[in-house]
Amino acid sequence: MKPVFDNEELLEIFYEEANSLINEMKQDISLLSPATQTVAPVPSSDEPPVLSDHAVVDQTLILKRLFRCAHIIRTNSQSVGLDHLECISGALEHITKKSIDESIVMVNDIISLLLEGVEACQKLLNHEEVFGYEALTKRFNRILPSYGGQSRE
Amino acid sequence: MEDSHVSKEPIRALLIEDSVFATRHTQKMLTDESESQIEIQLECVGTLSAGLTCLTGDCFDVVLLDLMLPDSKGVETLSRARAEMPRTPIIVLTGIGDEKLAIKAVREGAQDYLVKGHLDGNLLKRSILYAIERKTSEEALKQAKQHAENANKAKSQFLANMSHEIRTPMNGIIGMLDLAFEEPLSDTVYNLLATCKSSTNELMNIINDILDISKIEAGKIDIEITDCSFNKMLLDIQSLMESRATDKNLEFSIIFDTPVPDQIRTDITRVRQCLLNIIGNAIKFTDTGFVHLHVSADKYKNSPALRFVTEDTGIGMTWEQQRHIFDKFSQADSSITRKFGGTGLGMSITKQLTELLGGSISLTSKNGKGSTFSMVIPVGIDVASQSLLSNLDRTMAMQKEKSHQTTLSGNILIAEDNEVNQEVVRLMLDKTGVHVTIVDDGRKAVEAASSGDYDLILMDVHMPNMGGLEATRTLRQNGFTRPIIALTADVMKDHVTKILAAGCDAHLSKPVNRKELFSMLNTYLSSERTPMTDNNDPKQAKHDESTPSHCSPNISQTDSFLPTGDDVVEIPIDWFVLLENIEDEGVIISVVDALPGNIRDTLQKLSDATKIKASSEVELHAHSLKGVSTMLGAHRLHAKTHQLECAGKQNNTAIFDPLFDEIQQGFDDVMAFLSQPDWAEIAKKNCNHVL
Repeated sequence: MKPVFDNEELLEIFYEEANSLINEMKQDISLLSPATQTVAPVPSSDEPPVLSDHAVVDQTLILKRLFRCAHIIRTNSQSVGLDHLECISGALEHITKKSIDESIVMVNDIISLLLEGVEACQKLLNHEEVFGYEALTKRFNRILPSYGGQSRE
Repeated sequence: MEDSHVSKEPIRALLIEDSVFATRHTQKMLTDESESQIEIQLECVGTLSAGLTCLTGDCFDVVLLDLMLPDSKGVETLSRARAEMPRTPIIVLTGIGDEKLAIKAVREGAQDYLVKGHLDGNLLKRSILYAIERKTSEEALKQAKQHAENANKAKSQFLANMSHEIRTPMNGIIGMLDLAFEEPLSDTVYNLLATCKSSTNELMNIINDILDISKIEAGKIDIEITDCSFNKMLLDIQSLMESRATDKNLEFSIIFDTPVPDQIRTDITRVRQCLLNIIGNAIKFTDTGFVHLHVSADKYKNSPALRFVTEDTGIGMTWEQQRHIFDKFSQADSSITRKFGGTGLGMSITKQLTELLGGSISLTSKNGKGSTFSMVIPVGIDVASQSLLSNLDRTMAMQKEKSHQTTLSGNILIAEDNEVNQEVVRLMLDKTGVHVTIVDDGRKAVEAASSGDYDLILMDVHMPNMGGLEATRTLRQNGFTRPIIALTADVMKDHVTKILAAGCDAHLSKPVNRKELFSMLNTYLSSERTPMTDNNDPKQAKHDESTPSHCSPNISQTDSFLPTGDDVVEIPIDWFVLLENIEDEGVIISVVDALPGNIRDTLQKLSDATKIKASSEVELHAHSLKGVSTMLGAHRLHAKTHQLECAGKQNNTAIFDPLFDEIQQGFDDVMAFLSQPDWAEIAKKNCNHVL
């Protein structure tokens, strides 16, 4: 899907920033695990996270970073008129915010869905087709109630 | 409105935004050619802390603020920014299109809340321009408000000072008016002065209200918390309000919903002022039905308190009127002001005084059905340790009053030619237990004082054969050293000087007021405090009151003063004046019993004197009848008798006959009225309709 925004220079900035944010998100999601609990210093967003078997990170801080990235992508995609990207990044924004606000413990299902969402965003940024887009958005809507949270409705 | 920035320097804006795209996009919107000619210079930072640093070192006209920043999120971002730069307008520029959040942000001080993705250059520029203008106006309003508040404080201070200054000459005016009533007055002048007096009293009430409200506003009102009697205050209130309610045929009662303590700690004067305001209003705005004051023990903010609930069946209030009832200068509407008058300050004063007393006031009302005001006042005592009252204790109040009425011992000589005045003073003194001897002229006073052992003399100034001042001079020359108190209606300074120069120790103004008489006797006689005697029992007085007065066989009974149905009638005497002068209803009835014979005798003497144009006799008997009319509150008769007295003094014989005829007719009316068995009840009911 092509953006309705017609300023090439700004579009270029948009894509560049959005892709960068997607990469940050992918890295952060890889830090999430069902066993992860609140402890220890967390790598800042400017530094690549140090991954090791013994890395213990603060789940809430990771979720906050994910939320902020999703929020920027969603807001900017709204400005440039990329509706599908706005929709999926909005779903990611919602899940991460609710997970923080309602202290939902990360489980594999949620982590997998977050990753799927981020990858779908990346495809949309690369102008690739996202197969099963409708099904994906439905799964976003259903996932939180399954784990004690509220749906996006 | 024309853009004030169009021809001015460019607007300096600071954008605090962490997204590179959003930053560039905003820059582009503001620099693109658009309908607006406004030039905006934009500086951009990516974090709140960087933004705050910029603002402390530089001056910006407006801030565009993203709420989701790496170092701050949500409305907190706005609050922090506002705290750092309260005078700079802030526009929230966010991706969160949430109405609740938008309202929260505006309440937190944002000038606008714009959602990214729904913006264009024109919209953004307009928003910036309006935000700056709005903020400028806000600041101007704030300054104007501050100036207005300062001016209001200055006004209150001025009013407080001026009200105080006005009261001093007003007291002079009122005092002089009172004295003017003692002078010979024509009907016209009497009526003019009466209107003047009434207006003066109203003006004093208004001045007092203004003084109170300005003192409250200036924070200068004094609240004096002392131990006080709750029962006594309620008795005062009943005494003051019952007559006003009765005037309007309303029922007024004080109802104890629970037992209440008598001894409390508060500023009782202010509590009474509040209650008089509330109940006075209730009576004012009620035409039929009742006004009830409910009292009960309560708690307020976990402390012992008294609750006063005033309930009326008056005109009530609409919701809108209720909202403004405690506002200053507020009355229900202009028709209320026209009909009922008043400053509109009473309830505002009441509310503020209640709060100064540590309590609160509220109301419920239904238009056309009546109002209920509930006032609660902390009482500063432990109720459990107090003796409690379940109703108004009149006995206690009377006993307390009596305990201050000294029971005196000694012999008193009264020199007074007027038999009614003799009787009045004798009856008043009967209650004190002193021995009283009465003589009717100055010569007899000198004889009696020279041969008897009198501790004090009450000496009328105007008497036949020998006046009171001459008698006093003679007694002093003869070595009489005991106190002599002059009785006089003339309290002008030069007359009082003459009285004292003659050898009197003091003077009492006529008509003699019981309290003043007792106070004087307390001063000049040795005293001891003793309990009430049986014959002082108020029940006895009540019995006397119920005894029908005698009808003079020579005076035909007439129904001319009897009210018919609910009609009021004009009556020739003033119950309030009688009560004020004699105080005790039992004594009033006894005095009035003796009146017709005395009046007839004096009228006969006056008639004889006028026929032969004996000026000094006319002066003497007219003066005597003037005293009777003053005591009765027979205002017109007072004026006529005073005129005849003056005519006698000035030997103006030409007006003796016409004045005597008027006086004769006036006293005929008085005696006809007093011959009715229920004259006292009629007088009480029609006390506002005195001829």
